[in-house]
Amino acid sequence: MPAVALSRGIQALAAGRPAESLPLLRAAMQAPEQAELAALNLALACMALGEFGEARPLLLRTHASLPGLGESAFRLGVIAGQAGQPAQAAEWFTQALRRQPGHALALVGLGSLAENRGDFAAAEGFFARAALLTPEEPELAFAQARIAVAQGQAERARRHACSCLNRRPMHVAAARLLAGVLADEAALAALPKADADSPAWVLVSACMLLRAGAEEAALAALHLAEALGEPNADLTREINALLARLGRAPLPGEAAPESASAVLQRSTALWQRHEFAAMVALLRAGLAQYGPVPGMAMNLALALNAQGQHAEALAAAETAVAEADNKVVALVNRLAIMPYHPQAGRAEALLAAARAIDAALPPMPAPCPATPRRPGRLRLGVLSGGLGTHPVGWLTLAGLEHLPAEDFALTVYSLKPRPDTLNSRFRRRADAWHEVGALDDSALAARIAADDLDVLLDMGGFGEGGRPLALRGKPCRKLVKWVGSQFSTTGLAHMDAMLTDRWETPPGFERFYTERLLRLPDGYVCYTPPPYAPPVGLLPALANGHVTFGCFNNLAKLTDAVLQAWAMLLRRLPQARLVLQTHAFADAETLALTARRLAAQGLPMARLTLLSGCPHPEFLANYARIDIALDPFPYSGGLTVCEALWMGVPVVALASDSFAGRHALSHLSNAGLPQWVATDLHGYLQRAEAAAADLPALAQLRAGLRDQVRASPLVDGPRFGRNLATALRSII
Amino acid sequence: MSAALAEDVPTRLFQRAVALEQAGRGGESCAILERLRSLPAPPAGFHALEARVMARMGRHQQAEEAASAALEQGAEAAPLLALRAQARLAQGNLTGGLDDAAQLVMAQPGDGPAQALLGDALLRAERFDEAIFLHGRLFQQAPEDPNAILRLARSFLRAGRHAPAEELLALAEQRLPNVASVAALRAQNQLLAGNAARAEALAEAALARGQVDASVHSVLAHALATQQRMAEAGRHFIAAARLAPHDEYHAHLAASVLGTETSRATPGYVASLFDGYAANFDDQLIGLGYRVPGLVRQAVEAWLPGAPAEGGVLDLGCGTGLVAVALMGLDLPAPVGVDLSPGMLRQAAAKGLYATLCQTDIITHMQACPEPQRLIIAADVFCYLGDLAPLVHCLGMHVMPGGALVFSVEQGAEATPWHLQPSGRYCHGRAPLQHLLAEAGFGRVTMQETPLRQEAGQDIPGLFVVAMH
Repeated sequence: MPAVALSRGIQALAAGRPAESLPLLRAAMQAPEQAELAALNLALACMALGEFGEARPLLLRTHASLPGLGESAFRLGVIAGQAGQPAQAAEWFTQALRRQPGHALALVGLGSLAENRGDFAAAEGFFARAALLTPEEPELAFAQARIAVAQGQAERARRHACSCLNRRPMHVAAARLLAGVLADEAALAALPKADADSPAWVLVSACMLLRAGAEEAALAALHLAEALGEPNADLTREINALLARLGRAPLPGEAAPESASAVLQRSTALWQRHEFAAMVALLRAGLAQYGPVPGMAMNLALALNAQGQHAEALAAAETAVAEADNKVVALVNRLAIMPYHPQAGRAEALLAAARAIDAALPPMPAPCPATPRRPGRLRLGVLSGGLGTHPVGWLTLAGLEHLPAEDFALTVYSLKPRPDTLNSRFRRRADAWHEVGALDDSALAARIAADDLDVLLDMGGFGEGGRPLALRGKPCRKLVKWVGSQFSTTGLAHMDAMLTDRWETPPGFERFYTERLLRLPDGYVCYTPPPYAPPVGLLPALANGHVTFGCFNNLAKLTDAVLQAWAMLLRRLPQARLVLQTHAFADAETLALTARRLAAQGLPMARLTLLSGCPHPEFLANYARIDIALDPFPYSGGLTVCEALWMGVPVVALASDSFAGRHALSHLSNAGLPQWVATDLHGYLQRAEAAAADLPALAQLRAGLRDQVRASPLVDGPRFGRNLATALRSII
Repeated sequence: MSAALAEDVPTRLFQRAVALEQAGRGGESCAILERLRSLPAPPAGFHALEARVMARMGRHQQAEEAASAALEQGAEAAPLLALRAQARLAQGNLTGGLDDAAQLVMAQPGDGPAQALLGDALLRAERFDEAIFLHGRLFQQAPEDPNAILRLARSFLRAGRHAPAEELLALAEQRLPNVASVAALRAQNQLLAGNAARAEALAEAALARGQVDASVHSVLAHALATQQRMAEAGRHFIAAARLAPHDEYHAHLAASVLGTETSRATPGYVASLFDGYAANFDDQLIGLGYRVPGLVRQAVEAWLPGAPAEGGVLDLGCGTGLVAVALMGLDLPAPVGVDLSPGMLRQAAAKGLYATLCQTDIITHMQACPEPQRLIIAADVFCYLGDLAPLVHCLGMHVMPGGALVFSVEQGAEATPWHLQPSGRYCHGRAPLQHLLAEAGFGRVTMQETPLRQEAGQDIPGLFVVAMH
């Protein structure tokens, strides 16, 4: 019966069981006389479950149908606030007060909006009015604590935060605030507490541990607080966020409703696990719920790009640029997407996009004039999160190892610990090593500045985890870009130079770069082949009776134009096969999506093999299946080209004009195979066909290719070290 | 913890801790376990859970206590005995660890892991033949198991039976070609067998295979140092220090190669150095013409007639107790021995000549020592300290009037207070040392230039000092 359903639904909601209340309230809506009240409570239940998209139309309906109540307007204000629409939120809160002047939480909402604007006087006014109505309201105490913090009144902040926590022990934000205004555990122990055994104080202790960087101890305390207290969605989210930061999966259990920031955190965790399809689904749902939240749009751009959906990815990135208050972050995100895009990945467009980042940076005082450099060894620094078995590691280790220790003092600022064999070799060469990933930009810059470096190599760029913007204050004499998301100019005024070569940036290409171009005499990288690389086997076509092409590049690089080119090639060579291998194929939905794309671009699926990622030795061993590697465009393979060559497989490439589009040209030329690089699509297809038509030549090339590479500058560490040393000396 | 906790909260806490352990994240339950421990009656199964979690976190003392509590409550004995044995061994309680391991094997005679644990305990207790027997049996049962191979290899290595150790380690390296520690162990075995060149070759081969690891660089450095190729050794000590930045042993040696000024060798370095030497120390030193204990006896014999009648004898850096052996028969109380190395102290204890043996740093001991001593001896200890001033001043306050401080130093340049040598030891200049002793209140000082011992066929020049208050 609807009346009973309404009553039971409201009871379930009041008891903190919103999921249980949903069917009851939906049933109650069938009775006209109570439909609106049921609708309002259903909206509240949806909000408690984080389903703002479902709640909003219900609230709009009840706002119209229940003119005497301000609750609908208040809740619409909360939704607007969550979606980053403060003006709309203020309007809704005001409407709530017009209908219900005594709606204390609407006053608290207006106060919070004023606080966010920095108008603390107005905020205090709203909170004071609310306090007259509901002096015991914990959210009000929390709001007053926030104002006190903003005004530097620590004692008042402590008092209000304690008041909030005494009434609402599991108030995570209040605990966090209180942790920020307590000196130490002794101060926590000295606080007046209504219940000394309350989980609130464990929660505060956990927040203090987090502030001190003691993440493991904080996590243990959060678990204790959660186990001591009543079920609390905010606390569960806090624990799962910390677990995500520590690289651990959330504990199994009922999914807690999520705020926009929680969606973002979860999407980051999915990115780290390469679960791109789930990431896309999550972010699309989040954007539907909360509107065009810039962070969500940026992450969606990355996920779509990882799946090879370039047009959609760029569109999402552009949305983020349009919606973001902080344009710099969104512009960096867009620049990271563009090199993959068939049209936007051209050098001129990348230059414009990079310059836009520099233009959007807030003004900064000019750095102090550099002091004269100290005599003795050149003090070289490296800033990177890729110093291990990562493309940056494989392509730079040999060069740094062979910089003469008597002439170069090397200090490493590692942005990400990578305990592997390559990392050990970097550590062995480094005179000093600092893990700096946890430092904010100003602390990082100060750390670098303290070492009085002559040159700092930024080996992260705008890639994941890179921190080029932290270097704006020029904490060293010269800043040089080298490897690590080096796909274009950085566009940054503070980047002095870029290490390159005559193939990446031939004469005349200076117009695409804001940095001074330091061309190394051979290639701009030196490859370190892995000691576990399997031997080069015989040409597989001799046993198979057909040629097998392969591409082991990142899926993000496979544009529709590339797939069309390959489809054309396979039509011209009806016996040929194609093998694709990439880590993204481990995600079943991404694999299915890609298969649909391949088929849509005309590739004969019966002649294709799609392999997902595997451990590196096995990954390399799969080159035994390939006769000829096909490089994608406009974003060329980098490390992938070096690995193919080392495994005896020549690479057909198409060079464009961006730095990213000329990696294969550089490596192939450096290894003595410039003729494998075409300048247009016709040449690309012709080269591939010609190679496939001459198996004896291909077999001979394969048999001698590892030795050829071994004898080439591409892997000549001592030679590269000398060249690098000369280049570095030339800029100080 | 008050009884204010709601009745169901302890159960909830315990269930959460169990869930975390089952998810392989027992470490995240530390705060919950601490809260449960404070209850007057923790839930059943709590102690066993805590023992497992603490063991996995390497908190050996807590693991041992929790395991003991669980055993007292009648929990299932076998896993707890295994856990407690490992915790006790990790804390250096060899007797306790052996007892538990032996009980475990008696309870589960056919259980391989139990036998392996007992074998490891026997090895730690230097009961090599028994360890070899047990690990040998396990190897016969599973000759392909790399762990069984390595256990037996280590047993032979520790027993000084390097040829069978080499065979097994070569086999282990075939099974585990990418494990740097195996390569390092194989090279170390050769070094201990006296084959420094072979050790060098093995370590170089490991590095060439990409096994860049502190342990490989360390054994290579020692192999080169043994062959007197100090410059090359230095490069590898530096590499080892960079790869294991928290390892005091390599940090000190790297500093000595780089000429970095450090005022003392860290306790970690000294302990590591001498723990490695302990078993063969006496024989090696006698073989190297170690003279200091004899000089100590001569000096004490000369001093005794005028010495105070009361007061104790303190042997700082007692090592294996060679000084106590040298003082046997003299009219002196049994000395108190102080040393950082547990291995050395076991050797000293076996001699049965000390009143007490303390495993601590000598400076820490002196800062805590309340009573003045009749005689303080520091034979071949000050070479691990650079700046002697703080310690000598402290010693000056702890030698009673008429008492004596007897010590040796490696002799450095006349006017240089101290200098860290490439060997990793400090040397001291005569003049600054004389001045320091005078400042500390030692009115009568005799310094005798004398070789302390031999190293690589060369005399190590030293000063033997008797300073009286």
